[in-house]
Amino acid sequence: MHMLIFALLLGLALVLESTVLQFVRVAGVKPDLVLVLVVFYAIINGSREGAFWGFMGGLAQDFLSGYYLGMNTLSLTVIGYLVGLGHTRLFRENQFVLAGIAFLATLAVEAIRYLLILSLGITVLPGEALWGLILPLGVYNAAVALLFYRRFYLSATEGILRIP
Amino acid sequence: MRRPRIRKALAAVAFAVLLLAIMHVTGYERDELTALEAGLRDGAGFVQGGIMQLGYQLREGFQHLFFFGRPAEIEELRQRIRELEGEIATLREYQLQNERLRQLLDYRDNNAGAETLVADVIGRDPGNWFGVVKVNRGANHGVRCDQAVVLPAGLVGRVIAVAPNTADVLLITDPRSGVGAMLQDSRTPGVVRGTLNRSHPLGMFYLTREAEAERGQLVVTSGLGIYPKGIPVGRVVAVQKDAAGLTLTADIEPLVDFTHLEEVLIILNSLPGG
Repeated sequence: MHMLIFALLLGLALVLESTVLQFVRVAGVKPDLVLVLVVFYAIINGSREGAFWGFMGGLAQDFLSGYYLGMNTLSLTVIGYLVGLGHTRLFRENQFVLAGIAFLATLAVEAIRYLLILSLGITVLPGEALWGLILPLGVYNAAVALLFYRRFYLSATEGILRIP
Repeated sequence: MRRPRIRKALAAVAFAVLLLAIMHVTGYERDELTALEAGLRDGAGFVQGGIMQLGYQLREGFQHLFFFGRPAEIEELRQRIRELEGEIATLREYQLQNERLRQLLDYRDNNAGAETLVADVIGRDPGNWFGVVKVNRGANHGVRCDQAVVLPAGLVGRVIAVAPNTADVLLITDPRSGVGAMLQDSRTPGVVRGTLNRSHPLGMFYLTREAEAERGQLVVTSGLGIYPKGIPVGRVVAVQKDAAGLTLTADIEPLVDFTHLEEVLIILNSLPGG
C-alpha cells in the first residue's frame, strides 16, 4: 500500500513539474520535487529502496521529457543509492539536516546531469551552469525539503507511508 | 563473499552503459517519433492541458487578490466583495485572453504571406536544463518538424517533435537552439544561442570585431537556416570580446516573455517549399 501511495506522490510531483511549477520559478529555476521525494524516501528507508525509487522517478521524468531517455534515470538512481547510505549514519529526524542533504544531493545530481549533457555535445559554460542553475536549484530544493520533510517523516514512520 | 560484490558492481556498470547508450540515441534530432512516444506525448498532453488551464486561472485569481483583496470595513460587504472579485478575476482572465488573441490576429493580418496556426501551451519540460514547451496542435493540424513558432513580439522557437495532436517546441532560450540572426541596422550576421544566464538568456556569437554593435540595437533573423528572414529576436544589452579576442559576443534580451507563454503561432509555411 505504501508503495502505491509513494508512486502516486511521485506522479503528482511529475505532473506539477511539467505544468504549474512554471509559475513559481525563483531565480529562473523551479524545484525538482521528484528529487526531493527520492531524497526523503532514501534517507528514511536506505540505499536499496532509494536506488529503486530514484530509478522509477528518473524513468518517469525521462518519459515525460521525451528526450535523452536515461539521463534522469541514471542520475536519480545514483543519488537515491548515495543518500540511502546515510540512512543509519545521519540524524534523519531533523528537517534542517534533511535540508542540507537535499542541497548536497541537488548539487550532485545536477553535476551528473551536466556531465551527461556535455557528453551529448551540448555547450553549457560551467559558470553559467553553476550560478544560473545548480546553486539556485540547490537552495530552492533545500527550502522545499525544510517545508515538507517533517510531515513526510511522520507519515513514513507512523502514517500511511510506513513500511509494515 | 567477494564474488557477489563483483557481480553487483558489474551489473551496475552494465546498467549505466545501457542507459548511456539509450540516452545517445534518443535526442531530438531524430526524423520522427515512434508510435509509443507519440501516444505517450498525446496522453500526457491531455492531462497537462487541463492542469495548465487550472493553473492559469489560479494565477490570475491570486494576482487579483494580492492587488485588490484588502479587507472591507463592513462585515456583510466582505462576502459580496469576494464574489465580485471572483467575477472580476474571471472577466479579467477573458479580457487578457482576448487581448492576446487579438494581437495574434493582428500579426496574421500584417503577415498575409504567413500561414499561421494558433496553439495553446499545455506543458513544459519537467527539468530545468532545457527549454521545451508542448502545444496542443500536431500532425493532424498540419504541424511539421522545423516549422518556426512566433508571437507578435518576436521569435519563440521551432517545432522539434510532432505527435498526432501535440507538438514539442524548442525555445530559442534552450542551450541547444541556434538561430541565424543579424543586427538590424548594420546587417552584421551572427548566431543567437540560448544560455543559462537568467538575466540575459540569449547570446549572439561570432560577430566580427568591426561590427557596430551597440546597446539597444534590434536583432532579427537573417534567413540563414530554417527561420524566415526578418523575425525580431531581441535587443542588444551588452557587447564584449570573446575569450580569444577574435570575435564579439553580445548579450541579448529577448522580446518574448518566455516565462508567461500561453498561446503561440506556428508558421505552417515557414519551411522551404511550404
